[in-house]
Amino acid sequence: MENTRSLYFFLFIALALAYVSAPAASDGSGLKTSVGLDVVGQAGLNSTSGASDRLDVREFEVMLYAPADHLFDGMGSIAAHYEGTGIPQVELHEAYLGSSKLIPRSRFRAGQYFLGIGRLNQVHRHDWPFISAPKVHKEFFDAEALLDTGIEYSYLLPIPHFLEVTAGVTNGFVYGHDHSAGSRPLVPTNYLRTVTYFSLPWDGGTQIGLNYLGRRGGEGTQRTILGVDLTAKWKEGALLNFLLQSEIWYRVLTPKGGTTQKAFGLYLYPQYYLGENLFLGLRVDYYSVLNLTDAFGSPVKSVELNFVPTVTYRPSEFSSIRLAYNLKPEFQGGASTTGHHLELQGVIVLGAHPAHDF
Amino acid sequence: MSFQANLFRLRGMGSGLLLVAGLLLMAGCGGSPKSSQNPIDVYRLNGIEYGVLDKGSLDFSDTRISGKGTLIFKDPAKSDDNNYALTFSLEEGGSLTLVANSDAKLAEGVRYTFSRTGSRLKVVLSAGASETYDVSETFAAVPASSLPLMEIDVHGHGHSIVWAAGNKLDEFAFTTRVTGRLWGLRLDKATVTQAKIGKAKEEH
Repeated sequence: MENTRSLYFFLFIALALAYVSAPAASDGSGLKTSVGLDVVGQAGLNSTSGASDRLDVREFEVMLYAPADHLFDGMGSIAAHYEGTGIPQVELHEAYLGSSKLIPRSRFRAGQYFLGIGRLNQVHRHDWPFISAPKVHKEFFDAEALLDTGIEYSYLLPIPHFLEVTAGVTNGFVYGHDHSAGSRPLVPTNYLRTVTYFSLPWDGGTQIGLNYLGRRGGEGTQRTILGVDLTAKWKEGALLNFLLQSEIWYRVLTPKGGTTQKAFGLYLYPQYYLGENLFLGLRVDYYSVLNLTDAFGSPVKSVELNFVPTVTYRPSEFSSIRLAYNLKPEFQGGASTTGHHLELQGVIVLGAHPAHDF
Repeated sequence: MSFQANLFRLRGMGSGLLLVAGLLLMAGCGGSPKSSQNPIDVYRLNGIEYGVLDKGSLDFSDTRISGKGTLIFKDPAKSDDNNYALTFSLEEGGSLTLVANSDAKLAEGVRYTFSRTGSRLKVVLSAGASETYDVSETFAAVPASSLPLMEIDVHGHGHSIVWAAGNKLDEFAFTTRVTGRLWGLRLDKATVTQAKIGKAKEEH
């Protein structure tokens, strides 16, 4: 019942904001509204696929953003999605104030937001170039993104080459997907990202980020994550001819008094424009727990792969239809399984759409 | 750019990807684990290997384990989110504890303790060192004298879902995040005929 009330409240707010923002957008205030609808279906092709075998509204998201005055900006987004229940769960995705004008060469934000690390973590899921999160992203961060409430500050170094450093601290009471209010961490979530940009031949460009994240939870588990993200694009005007996106991550988890777990994962996604609004990509995922042992202390080799050819029909930046096939070989010890499943996604974005970083 | 030119460049891209995939496969699958130096005897329950941490008065066969003692299953879980399926019975005053997402000593992780008093089933959920919840009410309709198949999802991010005889009963959230990949059982006047681990039934 509480969830139903939340859903009605969410729909009321969404409609009210859309109604209010329409005249506001033309009154000089700059208020913009965006509504994102993300529908995803999965169909398993064998018994080990792990597919949901259903079609879901993965997300219905309402986003508002605008400059508050000559110094500050504000942004808020609320999303409804299913979490294993018949009724959508409504949650606050982002709500923060910030400025890129108050301090020279700097920008900051305070509130709840997707943490400014990596590539996928900073992009709303309906804007990803593929349907579902790679294993490493899901394991280290979340199925969508790691979000929390805190403060983030970015500084553009005064050198001829583009080099920006971002540092942030968030409450860290929860980390990633959580069903509870969490508990006070011994060390809050803290992160650092350095990003640079290089031009590439044939009018290409690449952005490379180095990332660090740390946290020590209330139960004493120390989490350290290091990673590199790379995005390279070759465009002709607004048309993305070729995209290469990759993230490589390494995580060390040390429970209080327990055994340290080291894990490594990556994904690599090249995508090519075929013409006629059609894009073809192939994502390769790799994930391994490096020091997995069995109950008797013997090392166990553990590797999960996923090969995801993905076709996207994207007639404009406001809509896309995507079809993907997942081939997932998994090896652990002497055993192996291979899952097969299909995914279908439809995305519609209504209204304005904020510009993305590169 | 023509469609044919695009396809030509695509073929080159495909070769590169095959190379990357091959390297990853070689890195991941090239070795085999060192031979086990089992400090404890290995037994099998329906083909699933386990070792005994506390032999107590345990009685073993290939299809059942009964009595009092503690055992740990050999193979680690494949994920932080798992489903545990248990078929067991309890004598009067008996109990069975599932220790999930734990370490080699079964000293941490999530614990479900099922205990029987008459026809009443008491169920206690514990996570980490500080969280303990009596969740017996959820199992009020489950007869302690004739327990059905119990299935329990334990997700590493502090979430658990329970089913009895295939019917979803409830789900619980706790603040302790668990990272262990090993699991085991503590028996006291209990008989276990099935204990399996698999992919989480629900992912959320």
